[in-house]
Amino acid sequence: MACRDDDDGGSQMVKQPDPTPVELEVPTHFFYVGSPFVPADNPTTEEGIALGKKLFFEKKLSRDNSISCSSCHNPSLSFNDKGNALSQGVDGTFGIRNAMPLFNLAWVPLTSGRFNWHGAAMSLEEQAFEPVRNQLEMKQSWEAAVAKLQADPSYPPLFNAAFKTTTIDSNLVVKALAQFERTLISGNTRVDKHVQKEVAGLDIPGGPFLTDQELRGYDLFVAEEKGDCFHCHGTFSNPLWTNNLFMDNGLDVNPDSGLAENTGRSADLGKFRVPSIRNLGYTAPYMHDGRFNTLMEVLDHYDTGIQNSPNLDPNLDPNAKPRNLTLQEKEDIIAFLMALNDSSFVNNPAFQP
Amino acid sequence: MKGTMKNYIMASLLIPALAIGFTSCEDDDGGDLIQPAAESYAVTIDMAQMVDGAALMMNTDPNKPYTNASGQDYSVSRLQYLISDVTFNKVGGGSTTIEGYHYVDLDDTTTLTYSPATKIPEGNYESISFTFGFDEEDNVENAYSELNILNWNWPSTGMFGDLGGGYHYMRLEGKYDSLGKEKVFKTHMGTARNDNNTPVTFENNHLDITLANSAITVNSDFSFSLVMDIAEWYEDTYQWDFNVYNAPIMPIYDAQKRLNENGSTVFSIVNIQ
Repeated sequence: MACRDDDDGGSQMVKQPDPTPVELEVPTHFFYVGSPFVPADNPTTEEGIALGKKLFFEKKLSRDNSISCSSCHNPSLSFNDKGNALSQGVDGTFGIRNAMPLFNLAWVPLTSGRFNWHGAAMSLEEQAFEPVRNQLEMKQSWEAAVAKLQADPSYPPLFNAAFKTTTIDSNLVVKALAQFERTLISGNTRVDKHVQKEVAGLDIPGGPFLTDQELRGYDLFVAEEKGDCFHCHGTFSNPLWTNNLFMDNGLDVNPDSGLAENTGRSADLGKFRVPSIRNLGYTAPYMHDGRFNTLMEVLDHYDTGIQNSPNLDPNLDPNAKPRNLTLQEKEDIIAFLMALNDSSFVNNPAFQP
Repeated sequence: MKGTMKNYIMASLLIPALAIGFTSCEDDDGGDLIQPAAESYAVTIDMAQMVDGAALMMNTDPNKPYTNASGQDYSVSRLQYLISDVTFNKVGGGSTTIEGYHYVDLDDTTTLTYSPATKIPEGNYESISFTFGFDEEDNVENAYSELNILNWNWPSTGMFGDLGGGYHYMRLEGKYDSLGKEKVFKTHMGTARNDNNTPVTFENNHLDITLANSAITVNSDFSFSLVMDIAEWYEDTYQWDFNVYNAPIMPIYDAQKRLNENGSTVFSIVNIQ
């Protein structure tokens, strides 16, 4: 509550204005995947987004004030960690999995969706709790983090504007972070323009937007007898380019526990979140442990390197039908993937510190 | 069948209109009377799965508890399918159709119960029928966001990738033993591309199924189990050989048509209550 003087010279309490609702800016062709999911208890607001952005770049969230969320999720790299397979936390310790890029997270279903490579969190809000207290990342208790924010005079007014309270708590911190993260929408690549004009039939200027090689790459991408990438990563009608599910892609005979770490199901052993194939030009190295430095290495894995892991996805078994992709075909697929780099997203001033 | 905004809009029009619960007739004075239609009742459909009459067990690897008609042992790790336009056919003519589809994924238990909003008018029905997959009218490219986000589309562009578009009807996947070696099968069903024709033609491959022994009298809310017996996809009448049709089979016309051929005996109805 804020105070002001009234005409009598006394003071009275006035209500803090409600935060201003914000409708997420969704690219036109995203109607193919429906509206973004926003939880009823954390609506997106101007003030919440602004606070979330400030917190995203806030180093006070780490024990020694050395790193922020953006240290491992760099907006200029599609919110990925620059070239690092594993990210460095406080005191120089390293995490155990590759930092995931951040975009289009508002389309992960609210009730059934999971976040992180291994599906540890059931919501964006829940996900934001972990890095602060993780002993390989920010290494700080939430009590300490909140105390630092509360003592910083810039924060209470911002929390007041966003949540109508100057008393900061961790639940509000993660809510603000999640609001900001839901605004990270990537949908403005040449592939997107192609889909808008040639698939959705929208009236947009310009084109053709894809080269013959890129279109050949897409053809191989969706052909079950060739790349067969689409069963997990989608077609032109899924601009997310992921199914937001968890799959075992045959990296190791004895895999990392993956999703099973959180579900306890043996059938989930070795399953990891299917990443979007957007913005791959900014997010090397690849896979949950960053083992592949190039997209050619990734395609070589799917072509000839699949291991018979316990829950290997049937879409990938080389014993059924080997892919036998030629070098030219791999280059075509990579050309298509590179057309999914969204330079306007990584340069968006709204996402920069 | 190419994806355009136009056919997206067409699909939107398939969304069922609200049922009108009143009929108009004349009273003795010549004025209009609004009379309620017959009472209608909710139906709940339990989506059940079996193999040779026993409840399906998923993810049994390394055990392969099932054997197909070709003597190949197999296990199942993924089963997803969709049905549409469930229809109640009235004795003496007429029917009530539940417009729309229901998607089943055995990894998502919430999909195992289908509780459509459409209610069924009281009366005597001689049978229940439905479409496995989508018929030509409903198999509209890119039209269903819930399915798009699941990558349920059936590709429609390019030299390799053009399979006629629309959506998968089923993904049934698992592993089988082949001469001591473990292999996977991916029984994916959808539009059949016939490469023998010039130009290539596409055949909608859905199944129109009328369930045997599905006569029902509706006078209260009711339920039944719609059972898919997986074994029937692989026998009766075509004896499926996983070594011939393991994966990929989406572009193989004969495989798609043989699934259609075998599909007529896959479904049954039990536990009408």
